[in-house]
Parts: sequence; C-alpha cells; structure tokens
Amino acid sequence: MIIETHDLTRVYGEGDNKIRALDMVNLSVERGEFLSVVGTSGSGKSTLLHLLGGLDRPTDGRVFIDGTDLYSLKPDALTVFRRRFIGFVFQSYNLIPGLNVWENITLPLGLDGIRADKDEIENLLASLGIADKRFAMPSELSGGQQQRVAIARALAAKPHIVLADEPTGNLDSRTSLEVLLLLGQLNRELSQTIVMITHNEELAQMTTRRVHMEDGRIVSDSGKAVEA
Amino acid sequence: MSIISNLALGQLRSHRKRSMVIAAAILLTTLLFMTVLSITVGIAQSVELMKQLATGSDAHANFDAEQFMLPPYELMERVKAEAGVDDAFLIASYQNYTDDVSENNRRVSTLFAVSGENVLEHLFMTLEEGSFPADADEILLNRELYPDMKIGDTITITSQLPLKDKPVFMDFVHTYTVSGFTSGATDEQFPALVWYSPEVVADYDVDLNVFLTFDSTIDITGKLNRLLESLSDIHKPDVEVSSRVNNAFIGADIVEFLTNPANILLILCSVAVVFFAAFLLIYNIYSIALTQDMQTYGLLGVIGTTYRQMKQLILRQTLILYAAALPVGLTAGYFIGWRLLMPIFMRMADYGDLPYRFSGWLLILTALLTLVTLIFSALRPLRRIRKLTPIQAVNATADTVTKRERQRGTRRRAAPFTLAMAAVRRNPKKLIVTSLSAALSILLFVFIGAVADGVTEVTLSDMQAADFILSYYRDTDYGSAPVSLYNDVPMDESIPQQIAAIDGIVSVDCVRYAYIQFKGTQSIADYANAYMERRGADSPWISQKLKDAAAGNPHAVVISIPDEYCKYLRVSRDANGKYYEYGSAKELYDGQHILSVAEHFKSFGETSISAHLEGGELLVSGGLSQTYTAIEVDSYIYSLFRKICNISWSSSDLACFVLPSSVFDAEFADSSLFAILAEAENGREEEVRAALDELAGRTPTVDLPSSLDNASAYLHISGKLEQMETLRERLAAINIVGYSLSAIIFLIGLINIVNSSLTSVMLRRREYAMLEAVGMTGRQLRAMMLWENSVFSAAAALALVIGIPLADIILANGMGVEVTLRPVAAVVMLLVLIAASAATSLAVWSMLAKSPVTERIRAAE
Ligand SMILES: Nc1ncnc2c1ncn2[C@@H]1O[C@H](COP(=O)(O)OP(=O)(O)OP(=O)(O)O)[C@@H](O)[C@H]1O
Ligand SMILES: [Mg+2]
Repeated sequence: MIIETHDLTRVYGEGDNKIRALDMVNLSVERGEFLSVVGTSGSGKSTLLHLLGGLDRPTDGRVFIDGTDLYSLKPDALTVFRRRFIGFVFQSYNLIPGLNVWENITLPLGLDGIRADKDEIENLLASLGIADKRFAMPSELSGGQQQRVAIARALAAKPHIVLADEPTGNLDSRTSLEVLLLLGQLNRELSQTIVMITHNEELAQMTTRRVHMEDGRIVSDSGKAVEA
Repeated sequence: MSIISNLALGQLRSHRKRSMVIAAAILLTTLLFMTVLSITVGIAQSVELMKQLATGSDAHANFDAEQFMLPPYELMERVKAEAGVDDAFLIASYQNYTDDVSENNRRVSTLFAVSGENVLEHLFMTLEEGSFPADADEILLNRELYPDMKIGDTITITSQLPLKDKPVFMDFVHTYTVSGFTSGATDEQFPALVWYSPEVVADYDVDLNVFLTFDSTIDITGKLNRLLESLSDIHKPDVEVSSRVNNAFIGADIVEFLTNPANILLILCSVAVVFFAAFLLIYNIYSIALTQDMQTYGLLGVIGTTYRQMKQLILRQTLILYAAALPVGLTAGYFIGWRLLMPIFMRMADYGDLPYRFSGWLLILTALLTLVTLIFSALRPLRRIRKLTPIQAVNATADTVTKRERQRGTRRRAAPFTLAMAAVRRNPKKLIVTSLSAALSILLFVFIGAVADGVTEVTLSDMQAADFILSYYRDTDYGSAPVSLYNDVPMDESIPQQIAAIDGIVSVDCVRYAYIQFKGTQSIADYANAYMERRGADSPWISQKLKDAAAGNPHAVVISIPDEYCKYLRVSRDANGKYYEYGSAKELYDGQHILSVAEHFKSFGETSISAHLEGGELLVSGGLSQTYTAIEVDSYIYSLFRKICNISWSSSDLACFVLPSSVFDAEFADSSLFAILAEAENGREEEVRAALDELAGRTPTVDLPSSLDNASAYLHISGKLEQMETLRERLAAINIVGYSLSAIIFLIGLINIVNSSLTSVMLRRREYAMLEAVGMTGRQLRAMMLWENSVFSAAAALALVIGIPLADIILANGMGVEVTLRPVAAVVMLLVLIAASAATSLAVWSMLAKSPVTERIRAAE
C-alpha cells in the first residue's frame, strides 16, 4: 500500500461552528492506481487531499505514505518528505511569480540540492507540449499552459504520488481532456500513482478507481466495497 | 547560482517598487547610523584631544626613572625595545624657574629637560626657528613668552631642585645660549626646553620620568602593567613602582570608560534610537510584504521548502538589497554624517578647530549595525509563517475572509461600524503592530526632545547664578584670571551703591571676606611644621602665616556668601550620592555653625589636605564674638563656589571658613568687599550691561601688593549672561541634533503609517469591491475605513497614556534631572499620524474606485 489512512478525521472550528470536514476516513491506495475523488462541494475532498499530502494537520487518525507515519514527523522533516515523495497540482495559483517556467519546474529539485537532469526535464516539457515556453514567466502563460507547468513540476522530482485538486477546474473541456489524457498516460507508462479530485464525472470515468465522498465520509469506492 | 538565490532575485524582480523602498530604508538606516556614530566619535576624539592638550602631552603613560637601576638613557632605550612600545622619551622637570631677562625678572614655571628633538611633537610643540639644543648649554624658548630674544642670546635660569642626600631645595643656576624658538598648542605653554643631561644635575634629586606611547591606545593600563612586569629584572629592590597613565586617552582604561553608565547610556541611547526607528520601518515593510506574498510562501511550503530555506530566501533577498544600497549609504553617510553634520555639531559645541581623524572602523561599524538591524527586522515577520500549515498559507488571502464577511453582511445589517469592528477583530495582530509602532515612534520623538532638554538643563545648571558678577581680574602670562583672596585687594565700598543706582538693576548682593587668627589645633601645627621642613626653613615659600600656624595661631579667611546664593552650596552627600542643600541646612543660619573647607592639593608629588578645622571642632578666635562649630566640606566646594563667583585663596598657609551673609554681617562690622552679584530686570539686560561696562571702565585699576609680578587688577564683569553668550551656540548644537533626530523619527513614523495604510487598502481592494458589489455605498465604505482607523488611533493613544509616564521614569532616573516629556508634541504627532493614515486610505480608495467594480474583483486574482 502506498497510501493508507486510519480513521482520518479533521474538524474545523469550535463549539457551535464545528464542522467535521473528514469523519473517520479509511482509505488505501495501491502503487500505480489512478484514483479520482468525486463528491458535492463541501464534502471534504480537498481536506482529504491536503491531509494525504501533509499540508494540514489531522484532528485525529493517521496517514501512512509508503509505511511512513506522516504526522509523526517533525515539521521540517515532513516538508522534506513531501518534497521527495509527493507532487501537488492545484486548481489555480500553482506557480511562483518571479520565476520562469524552467525555474518553477526545477524548484523542488533545487531545494533538495539536486541538479536537474536537463534531458529529462526537456522530455517532460516536450511531452506536456510546453517545450517552447521554457523561459516564459507564469504571467505570460494561459491557464492550461500554467496547469501543465504545474504538472511538470509535480513530476520533476519523480514523486511516488501525485496529488491533484481539480487540476482541470479552470480549463475548458478540450484542454481538460488533454490534461487528463496526459495524467492517464503517465499513470500507464510510468506506473505513477495519482489521486485526483474532480467535479467532472466524464473525466472521473477515465481513471482506474473512483471514490465518492459525502459529508466527510467515503460513501462509495469502485475499488472495493465500503462497509456501511 | 543556487536555487534560493535565484528565487530571491525572482522575487526582487517581480516586486521592483517594494525592493526600491527596502533599499531606500537601508540607505536611510546607514545614513542614520553613520551620523550618530560620527558624532559619537567626534565627541570622543575631541574629549581625548582636549584632554591631551590640557595634560600637555600625547604620551600614553609615564613612570619614574628613579626606580630602575639603569642610567636614564639606557633605560629609555630598553623601554623602546620592549614589545608593544611605540616610542619612549625622557622628561625632567626643574621647578620654580626664574630667569634674568623677562621684564619683571620673575616667571614662576617649570623648565623641562628632554631626551631629544622627537619629544617636541609629543608635547604638541613645533620648532619655529633655529634648532634643537646641541648640548646641555643650549636652550629652546617659547616665542610667545620671549618675543624679544634672538638666537645666540644668553639667558640665566634659576630653578629649585631638591638635593640628593636630604630633601632640601637648592637653587640650580645655569646659563644657556638660545638655539631656537618654539610654539605650542597646549593649554599651558612650556616657556623653555633644554636637553636633558644627567651629569649637569648629578647632585640633585631631579624629578625624571620615562614617557612612552604604545602601539595603540586600547587598554593602556594593562599594557603599562605588563611592561613594568617585564622590566622587573632592572627594578631597584625595595622601591615602590610609581607609574601614571594619561587619562586623556579614552582607551586608556577602556573598561572604566565602558563601565561609566553615562557614556554607555549616551552611546546606547543614540544607537537604540536609530535601531528602533529603522526596525519599525523595515519590520513593517517586510511584514506587509509577507502578507502580500503569503500565498507564494504557502506554495513554496507545498513544494517542500523548509522554514530554514524560507529564512535563507528572505536573507538573500535582503543581502542583495543591502549589497546594493550599502555603498551608496556609506558614501552618503560619509559626506552627510562625517563631513557635514559632525563638523557642524562640533563647531557649535566649540570643538571645531580640532583635527578629527576618520577611521575605517566607522564604516565597518556602520555597515555591521545596519546589517544587524536589517536582518533582525527582516526575519522577524517570517515567524508568522511558522505557525501556519502550508495550506493555511495558500488560503490566507482576502478571498476566504470575504466569503465569511459576506455571510456576516447578510446576517446582520452591514453598518460601516460593525464591519469595521469585524475587520479589526479579524486581525488583532495588525491592530497591535500598527498602533504600537505609531505609539513607539511618537514616544521616541518626545523622548529625544526630552533628552535634548535634559542636556540643556544640565548644561545650564552649571552656569553662574547671578546675571552679572563684578570682581577684580588681572592679566597673567596665560590670559586674564580672577584675583585671589590672598592678594587682599578689596573693592571700593561705593561700588555696590553705584550699581544699585543703575536703572534696571533688581538686586545687588556682596561677597565679602575678613581675615582672622584663631586657636589652632595640633593637626594644623603638625601640618605647618611638616610643610616648612620639606620646603627648607628659609625658602621664600615659607610665609609668616605658616610660622604662626606652626606656633598655634593659624590665619584664616572667612568668606561671606549672600544668603540668597547659599542654596548653591551643597554641603554633603547622602547615601545615594545626592547633595543636601546648604540653604536647607538650618544650622548654618543659627549663628552657631561655620563651614570649614578642607582643600586637597598637590605638593611634593603627593596629595595633602590644607590646614583646616575638622567637623565638630570649635572655631575660637579673638576676632570673633563667639565660638562656632565647624561643618567640614570637601574641596568640591570649589566647583560650587564657581556658580557664585570665582573664589580662590592660598590654601597652604590659610584656612578658609564660610558663613552666610546674615551671620557674617553680625560678626564683622568691618569686612572687605570681594565681589558683587547683580541681577537685572528681565528684558533690560543689555541696558544694564552697558551701564556696568561704563562703570568698570571708569573704576581705577589697583596694584596687587602681594603679587610676584607687580601686576595690577581691574574690574571685570562675568556672570550668567556672559556665559550664555558662549553657551548659546553649544546649546543650539545640542538642540539641532536632538530635533533633527526627532524629525527623522517623525518622518519614519509617517512613512510607516502611510505605507501600512496604503498596502492595507491595496491588499483588501477586492474585499472592498465585494462590499460595494453587494450594495455598500462609497460613503459607507469611507465611513468604515475611518472607523477602522479610529480604532487604531485609540489603541495608539492608549499605548501613549501608558508609555509616556514610563518613559518619564526612565528619563528621571537616567539623567538625574527633572525633564518632562512634552505631551502636547505627542498629541500633535498622534493627530498628524492619524490624519495621514486616514488621508492615505481615502486617497488610495478613491483612486481605485475609478475603475468599475467587476474589474476590481477580477484584478485581485
Ligand atoms: N479553513 C477552513 N476553516 C473552516 N472550515 C473549513 C475550512 N476549510 C474547509 N472547511 C469546511 O470543511 C468542509 C469541507 O471542505 P473541503 O474544502 O474539503 O470541501 P470540498 O469537497 O473540497 O469542496 P469543493 O468541491 O467546493 O472544493 C466544508 O464544509 C468547508 O466549509
Ligand atoms: Mg475543494
């Protein structure tokens, strides 16, 4: 199991305003799965993804990534772990302003003190169709191009897992499809584990496993039966 | 280049305006530090130079040559060869020298015999003409004191030297040929200089010292001790080492200097003021920048940037700007701080002519202080990030907040006041930071003003009390000087009435004196006997008065101080070192007590205490109607006398007592008039001065009977108004520095508040646009901003209400004088800051409001 959660719970607010955004979620993901998470707005999808990636702190429960208990790590260790094993793509606000495409993509590697393999990045850029944009600044890119750069960055450090929160949310259907096909290709050819949130049922159908959330719980999972 | 530096550059590039503002702040900080340090160094150097000129030499230390077994010149060479010693030279002093050429044949001074021409520069002397003595029979003369002599002339000099075998003074007479002339820069001019030859004075016990300079002036005391240690092999057994450090050098005892609270306070205060001001500015800029970039930092966290790396990022950004701004700042600092402001300050403080040395350390210290301030202020805001998870940082935009705000807006009535309070509640930290930094800059502003006032107060408190003081002065070789009591030249009794008759005179008081003989104590007789024995029984220095003292009937002068002025004579110190007021010491007016002055003075190289009655002893005299009980006072009374008028007497053969005039007048029907203290009506001082000048002009001069040089005395006017003239510029300098620092602080406070309200509106422009979109009018929006503003203002005012009394306490304890912070200035500055903040918010808003709402909502994305 590359991802495992045990009774993962996240409560926001206090007293009357308490919201159980995640309620005792148990989820296991195998290496090489392409998992999509669907559900209504406010059902806790983003919360789950953030917790899987060590971006937030759970109120209760645990997250294991490749056997490592994520939240037992010290803050800086968790950061380093994230840098090496997890890649993120958000719906928007993905790129660091002031750095060009190339610099944005190689940033996680650089933070680790690793020199980026030039050919590899070139290949990545080429396969994402943004080879000619390598020295462009984020502000000079279209939304879809930005999204592809974000994906390239998420992949550059060869993470074990890619977590994507509505990566196509801001894109038109044609571009959405392109991005999704790309992710699928990565999943098939490199056996890249991917967890993706989407509102688009059509896109969800193209993944290898679908999880449906409601009120902070997983209500259905195409990969296995969920106990009531 | 590393990825972090790359990132740093990228951030700088995408926030050009902000980078410029930070660079400007660094420049301003450098400039401020440089100015403060320049003035500090200027003061330190001038104090050092003035003291050197007063002590007459730039030698760091000296010790008696007597205590060593080597002959003087060999000893000198040995010292020169020691580690850490820069130069060593010999100076012998032949005391009480008189010559056979000057007008009146008598010139009481000291003849110096030195080891070589190099000594001249150590004594701040220059060879104007001729050459250094080639042998022990040649002499250099001071050109100013011997205007009529020529090279080749002869001069016979007599000085008094103690004999080797018994400590009796003998005349040492030697005839010299003039080899050249010198001029000097020191306060006291050396009249003549000869080459030191041990053979010529072989029979005498000459006071010969080895003077030396070290490689540096730091820790002179320690260096001297180590030097004497290493000379211990040639040290005479059973002779005590006697050595002296030239205290003119601040570095002489760096530890003492550094432990002197006043010095530390001064330096720390100025550095702290600059630090604080710069901190406020830079911290705020970085804090705002962090808020603006919060999302980027969140994203960096998501990607896996550790906190340490983020610190590195800020640090590199800052260092890049520092590297760019520092050279400009240092250059500007050098020209504005060192070349422009420091000399202005020094000239106004009367130290203008001294040669100030610029030191590279000044640049290094400025650069370091700026760097420390910068790094501290820049990194501080980043701590906020530490408390956030990356996802909180990514979401920490006005966006999420607005959603909730909108809910609130629909739930309750969207009154401007409620919304403003909600905005304040949402970000209590901002409330604290903004209001505290405003309060702090106001506090600094009034604090500096108060310190300047305090320094003025301290300076003024040293001034003479009376507007005008009339007393006899005489001309000496070294300028005019007040006539001493032992000259016994009383002023004409008609003068006080003449002064009282001048229009505009408010009061006239007299300082009087009378001579008495009293019943001596054993210790006074012992003192007189010891003194006579050391001087030699038939020396001209042994007066009849001393002989009487030895016989049990000492002489004394009784001084009368006008009751009005007795308050300046503080008698004793309490456990805290504070003075009691003489005026409040009731027993002085009871006709039963008298002040007895115990003066410390130097004779035979050691400090003696003058003949005096000790506290509690009785003053019994045929010249007095009753007996008085003595209250002993130290010689610090001298400095207190100075506030009233210049009083001096010959303490070696005269005791001195002081009474308030009410008691004195009852005791002495017949006394002599020493000085007149006059007060003028406010506003008529100039008129009075003219009349007094006229009076002094027509008062005839009198001969000084007991003077050695047949001089005459003339009426001289001194006093507070005279001192004011010379002090005015110095006070102006203090005020200029104080007020310009205040102005800079004010400016920084202003920049700060404008900057933060500007960015506050910019950051929340989307929120405001949203509010407008849901139906808030521009009027209501403006009202909301003003309400918010007033909460900050109220918080700042509250901080001031607490802060001002606190600063008052600090000042009162730190400076020892009563100074009050100026609440009015504080209130005015607060109002200006509030107005500036409100005006900025409204101005920015009205500029933004020109574009349509929808555009503004989108623009924030
Ligand atoms: N920072 C927060 N503070 C308080 N409540 C929050 C916070 N973030 C999320 N929530 C609440 O937690 C619940 C789950 O939110 P989450 O963002 O996970 O939903 P989601 O499924 O991603 O929704 P969407 O499809 O709209 O993105 C929601 O009810 C939301 O209001
Ligand atoms: Mg979501």
